[in-house]
Amino acid sequence: MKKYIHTFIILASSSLLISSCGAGGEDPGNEYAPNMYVSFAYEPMTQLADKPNTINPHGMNMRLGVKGTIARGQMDYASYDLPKTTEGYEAAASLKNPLEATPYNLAEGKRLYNINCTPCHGENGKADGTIVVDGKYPPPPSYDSDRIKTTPEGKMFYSIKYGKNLMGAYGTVLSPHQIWQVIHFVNTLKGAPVAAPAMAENATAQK
Amino acid sequence: MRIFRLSSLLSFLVLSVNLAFADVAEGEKLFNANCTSCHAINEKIVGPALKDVDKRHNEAWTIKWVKNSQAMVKSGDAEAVKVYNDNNQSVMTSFEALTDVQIKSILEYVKSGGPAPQTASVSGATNGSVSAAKSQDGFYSNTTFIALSVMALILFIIVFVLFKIKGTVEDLYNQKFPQEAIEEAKEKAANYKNSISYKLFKKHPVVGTIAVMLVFTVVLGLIGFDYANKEVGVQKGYMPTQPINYSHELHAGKYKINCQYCHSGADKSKQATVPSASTCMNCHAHVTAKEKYNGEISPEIKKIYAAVDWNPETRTYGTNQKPIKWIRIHNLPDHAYFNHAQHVKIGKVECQACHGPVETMKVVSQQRSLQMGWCINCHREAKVDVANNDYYEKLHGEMKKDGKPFVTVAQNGGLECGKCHY
Repeated sequence: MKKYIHTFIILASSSLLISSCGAGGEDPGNEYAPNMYVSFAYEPMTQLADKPNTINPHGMNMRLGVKGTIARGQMDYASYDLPKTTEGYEAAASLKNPLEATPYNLAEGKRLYNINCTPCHGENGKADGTIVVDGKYPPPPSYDSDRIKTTPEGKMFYSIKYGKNLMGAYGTVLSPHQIWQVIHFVNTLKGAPVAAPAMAENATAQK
Repeated sequence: MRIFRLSSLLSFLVLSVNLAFADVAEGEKLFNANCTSCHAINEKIVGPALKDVDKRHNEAWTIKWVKNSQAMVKSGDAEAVKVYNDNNQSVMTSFEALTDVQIKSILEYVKSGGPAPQTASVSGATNGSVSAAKSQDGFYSNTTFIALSVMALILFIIVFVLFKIKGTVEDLYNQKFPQEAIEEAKEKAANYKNSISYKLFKKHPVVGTIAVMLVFTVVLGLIGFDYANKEVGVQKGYMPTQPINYSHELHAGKYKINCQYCHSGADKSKQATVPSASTCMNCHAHVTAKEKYNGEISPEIKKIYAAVDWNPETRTYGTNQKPIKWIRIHNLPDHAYFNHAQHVKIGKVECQACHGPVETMKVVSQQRSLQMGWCINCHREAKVDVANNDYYEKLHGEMKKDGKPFVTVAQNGGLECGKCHY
């Protein structure tokens, strides 16, 4: 009887020891030879609690670029430097879409639109996105409204890059090239262009 | 042509109705189409709250303001300059296309007080998801563990009692039949001489010891191998508490916001990237979940505001900005290279293939082992969609020549050591 008790104790304690080392809940579990797991260099998206960055602000591995620097191959960031003011918005009206509405640009525009725009603007640009329909966010103007149809592409570019009214800025997520692709796709959601007689009627109604 | 005629007829009809009287329903439509991106009735958004606007300004002034506010400010209208300055000098879009009657309709709608607030649907959804999160704990919850331990203890006691009873009964038997007991003992001794344990441990102790050690080594080795394989360095099940109680179930599940809306690096860089707080602010500059917290801003959303130093009253950013210390869950060892863009943009792999059903998780946990065998398995089995992919145009052409029906990642060199380890 007594020898069995010893075996039991050994088995139970060893199984406890083993089962407590895996990951679960707050515990990421154990690692063998962590030197092989952890990068010696600072990795931008990895932040070790026991190895804070001694150089950067907040001990973060990531840091903002020096003001005015542009990543390689992204020179078009520099060509659209507009002031974030009403004047900048008005000045943007003269910008022209440098891209052709090729099938590729439209497809890419659609992909980016579905990622970034649909929560509010809806799949067809009718301001019926999921968070608008649920009443969490006020509806943006529908793309087939006359006001948006007559908005120049340059102003659309400004609104996407810098944000406008309640809409946030997407210049950090979309490159200028991508913004123009999105604009090509959005143009396909506007429907028929505003008819001239309708404009005339509006004008007479105002008087 | 027909459509055009119809639409002009319609607009004529609408106009004629509008000319007759200002209409609340029409005002609601116009309000939602033109005003909501800056104005709400009961709260300040970008522009001021519109409640009681008819008491603050006279109607003719308001109509003039809506049509072209800047002209009024420039002309030095004292009332206009005051409104302009009171609202951070943000310029209101000019709505010269709206008719007087249309603006009156909007004002009627504003007077009517707007839509009734809805909160009922939300509480139901949260309740459901809480129970879902609890069931994830399952086997490892505290109560089950305690119940199992108690049961084990009871079983041990029963075994112990049974052994005791057996011993007592044997003693009694021996006392009653001493002759038979002696014979039985003799028989036992004879049996013992023939048994394996006698031959191994008494006759050949060296062989016995080696055999036992061998068995021990093999068993312990197997346990250790299994443990090292499944547990060490494998973070499957890791579910840390994040600094902000952000729910993927709400954002990605209920509102169907695309993963890449926030993890915008996934299609263009090695990292999927944790979104910057400015991405949160795209919506949360307006969405404060006040209806859930008795008119207070949600404590979780307040944490974003604290990080970006945003003042929701004045709607301006300060300079004292701090990073949010999100905890990374999915880690690969440094000696394995993984690139998100390669898998998301070129391979068109669904995020869920490696991260599990994140859109159902209130708190994200690691669902896959992320071990090499798991990677390799997918590389062996997954067929690459070369036909609809510009990136593989050349490869697809060659495949057509060779008459291959499909290609797996492995056939395309996805098992080479140097692809991931360099």
